[in-house]
Amino acid sequence: MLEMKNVTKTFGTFKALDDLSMHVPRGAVYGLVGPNGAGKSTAIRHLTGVYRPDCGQITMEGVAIYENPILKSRMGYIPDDIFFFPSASLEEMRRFYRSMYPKFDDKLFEELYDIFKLPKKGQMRRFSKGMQKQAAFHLTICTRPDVLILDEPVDGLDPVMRRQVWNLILSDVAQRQTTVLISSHNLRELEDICDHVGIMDSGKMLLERSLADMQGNMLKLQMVGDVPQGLDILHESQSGRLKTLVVRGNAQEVEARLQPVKLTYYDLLPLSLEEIFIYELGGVNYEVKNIVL
Amino acid sequence: MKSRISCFDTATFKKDITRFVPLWALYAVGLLLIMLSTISGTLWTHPVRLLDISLEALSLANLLYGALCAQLLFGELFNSRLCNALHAMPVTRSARFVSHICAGLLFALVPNLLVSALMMPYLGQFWYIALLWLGAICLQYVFFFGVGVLSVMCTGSRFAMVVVYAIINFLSLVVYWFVEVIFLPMMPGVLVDENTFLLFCPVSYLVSNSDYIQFSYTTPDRYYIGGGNYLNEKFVGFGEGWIYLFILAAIGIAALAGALLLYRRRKLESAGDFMAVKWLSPIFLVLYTLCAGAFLSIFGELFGNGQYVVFLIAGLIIGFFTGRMLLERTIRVFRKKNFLQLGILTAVMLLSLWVVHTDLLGIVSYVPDPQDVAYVVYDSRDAYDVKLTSADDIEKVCEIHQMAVDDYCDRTCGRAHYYCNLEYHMKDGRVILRRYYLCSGTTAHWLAETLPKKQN
Repeated sequence: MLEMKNVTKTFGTFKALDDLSMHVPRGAVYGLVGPNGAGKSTAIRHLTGVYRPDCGQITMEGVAIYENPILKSRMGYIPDDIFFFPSASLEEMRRFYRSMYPKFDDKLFEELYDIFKLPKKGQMRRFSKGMQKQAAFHLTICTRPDVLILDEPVDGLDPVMRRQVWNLILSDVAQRQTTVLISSHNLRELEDICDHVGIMDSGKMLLERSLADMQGNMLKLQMVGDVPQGLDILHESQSGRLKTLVVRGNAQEVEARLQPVKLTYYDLLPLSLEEIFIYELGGVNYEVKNIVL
Repeated sequence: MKSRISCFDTATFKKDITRFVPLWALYAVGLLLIMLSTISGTLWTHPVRLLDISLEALSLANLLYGALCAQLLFGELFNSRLCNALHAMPVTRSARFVSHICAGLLFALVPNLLVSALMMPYLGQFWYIALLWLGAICLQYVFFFGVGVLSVMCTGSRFAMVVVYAIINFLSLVVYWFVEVIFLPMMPGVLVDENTFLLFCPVSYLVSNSDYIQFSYTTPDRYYIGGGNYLNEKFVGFGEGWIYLFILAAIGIAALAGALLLYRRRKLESAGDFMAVKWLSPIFLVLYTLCAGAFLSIFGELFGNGQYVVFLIAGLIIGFFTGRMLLERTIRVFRKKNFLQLGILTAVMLLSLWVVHTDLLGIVSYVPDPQDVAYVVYDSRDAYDVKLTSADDIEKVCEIHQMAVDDYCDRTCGRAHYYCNLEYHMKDGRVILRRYYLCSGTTAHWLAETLPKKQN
C-alpha cells in the first residue's frame, strides 16, 4: 500500500534518511520504531507528501504521493506537534476539513462528540495538549482515510482516552481495512495493536517484518550449562548458574542446536517488542549502558 | 464533488478571506480616513486634484499593506508546524498559491472599490475620476504585493521577509548614495540623473511624481488623462505616471510568476531559516552589507565632513558580520572562513574604486562624436537650458567638452570660473550628463561665449 524505495534526504550536511526502504502492506497496523533522531518523523513527512526526497520514490499503490491531492485526500495524518489555525474553534476546523476532504463524515463527527467531549466553540489554542490531540483525532478520523499516519498519537492522552483512541483505530481497521502507520516510543502499547514493525536507526531501516515473524525469530534462552556452539547470540547475562541469552533464530533452529549439548535445564521464551528493540539496537551500538555517576 | 486537481482551492480561499477580515476592514477604514483628509484639503481646488494628491500618499500605504498581506497569507511557510500540517492536506502548491493570490488581490480591491464608490458623490460631474483613482491604486498594489510575495518565497522567517522586501524596494537609493558620495568625486565632470535611480525605487518615485491627470486652468471642465500642457491646452501624451504604473504592475505580475516557480521548488524544511533559497544567501549578504554601510555612513555625516568614511567602513564590517549572523542564526561568526570572505569583498570594492579612480572604463575621458549626437541641452551662467541642434553648435560643444576634460578645472585655480552643464541626447537614445567649470580667459571659455544664449 505505502512504499518508500531507496529514499535519501539530507538537511545541509546531515543525512536524515539514508537509502531508506519501507513497505507497509494494505490493512496492516505498522509500528515504526527507533531511537531519538532515527528519522521516523522525517520518513513520515515524506510519506505525507510534505517533504521531497533528494532521491528515491515514495508511493501509495504504486503512484507517487508528492503533490498528489487525490492520494492525499485518502490519507489522514496526525503529527506529533499539532497545529490549528490560531483563532479557530472545533466547529470552524470541522468546516475547513469538510471542504478539504471529500469523504468527511459529519454524522460520525457528531457521534464522536460523545467520546471526546470537546467544546464546540472556544478557541482550540486554549485547549490543553491532550485536548488538542483529541481534537486532531476527532477531525482526522472523520475524514474516513484509507491510510492513517500517526506520529506519537497517544502522547499526552490519559489512559482512558488512550484506550478509546486505540479502539477507534482498530475498529476502523477491522471495518474499513484502513492501513495504519504509527510512530511511537511506547512499545508496550504498540505490541498490543501492531502486526508489522519497522525498526529504524540513523536514517536506515534495520529490520522490517511482521511482528509474529520478529518475535518468532528472536528468543530468550534461559539455560544451565555450557553455551552451545552455533548460536547467534545478541546478548548474554548470568545470574548464579542460570544463563540468559538472547538469540536470533526460531524455536526449532535453536532447539536443534541445544539437543547435542544435553543441558541440565533450558527454556525458550518469546521477547517483547521492547526487548527486541533494545537488543537489535544493541547491535548497532545503541545499547543500554551501565552508568555510575 | 470538488475537482481533485485544479489550480484553485475554495477552502484555502475562504479561510484566507475569513481569517483576515480585521486586516482589510482596518485598511478600508484607514483608506477612508486618508481620502477624507485629502478631500478636505482639496475643497478649495479642483476636485480632480484629488487623484494626484491622494495617490502620492497612498503609495506609502500600499508599500506597507502589500507586504503585510503577502506575509500574512503566506505566513504558514515561516512556521514549520503549520507548514507541515497544511502541506499534508490534499491541495497542490499551485492551487494553494493561486488561492492566496486571489485572496490578496481581493484584500485591496474590495476596500478600494468601496472608497471609490464613496468618493463619487463628492466628485459630482467628475465621478469617473474615482474610477481612474481605483485603477491607479490597484496597479500600485499589484506591484507591492507581487514583490512582497516574492520576498516571502526567498525567505524563511517574517523578519527576513521584511529585510529582503526593504532591500528590493530601496536598493536603488543605496546604489545612488554610493555613486554620489563615493564614485562621482573620483569622476570629475560626470553627473548622474537622480531620477534614473528613483525610477528603480517605486515608492520614492510614486510619492514625488504624479502625472496621472492634468486639468485646465482656463477651461474649468477640461482635463487630460496623463501628462498635459495646461499652458497651451495641448495634450502631450499619456504621461509618465500611467506608463510607470502599468510597468510596475507588469513587474508585480512577473514577481508573482517568479514566486510561484520558487514555491513549487521550495523545501518546506526551510521554515525558520533566514533565506529559503540558499543560492541567494551570498547575494543577500553583499546587498545587506552595502545597505548597512550606506546607512551608517549617512548617520556619520551628522558628525561632519570626512567622518562618513569612518562610519562607512565600520558599517560595512558591521553589516557583513551581522548579515552572517542572520544567515547562520548564531553570533559565532568570527571565523577564519568569514574573515576570508570579508577580505574578498573588500578586495572587490577596492578594485572597483581603483577602476573608477584610474578611469579604466574611459567614462571620464569620454567625449561623444558630434555625428552621434541628436542635440545638446546647454546650461550655463548666461544660457538657461538652450537646446542646440545645429551641427556647428554640437561640434563646438564637443570641442569645449574635450578641452574641459584635458584641462579640468577643480575651482582652485584662483581665477573666475563659470559652470557649464551639458546634456547630450544621443541618436541611440542615451542621455549623457556632464558638468564642468570653465576658467575665464581660456579657449574653452571663449568658445562657450560664442554659443547661442537662447532658443532660436
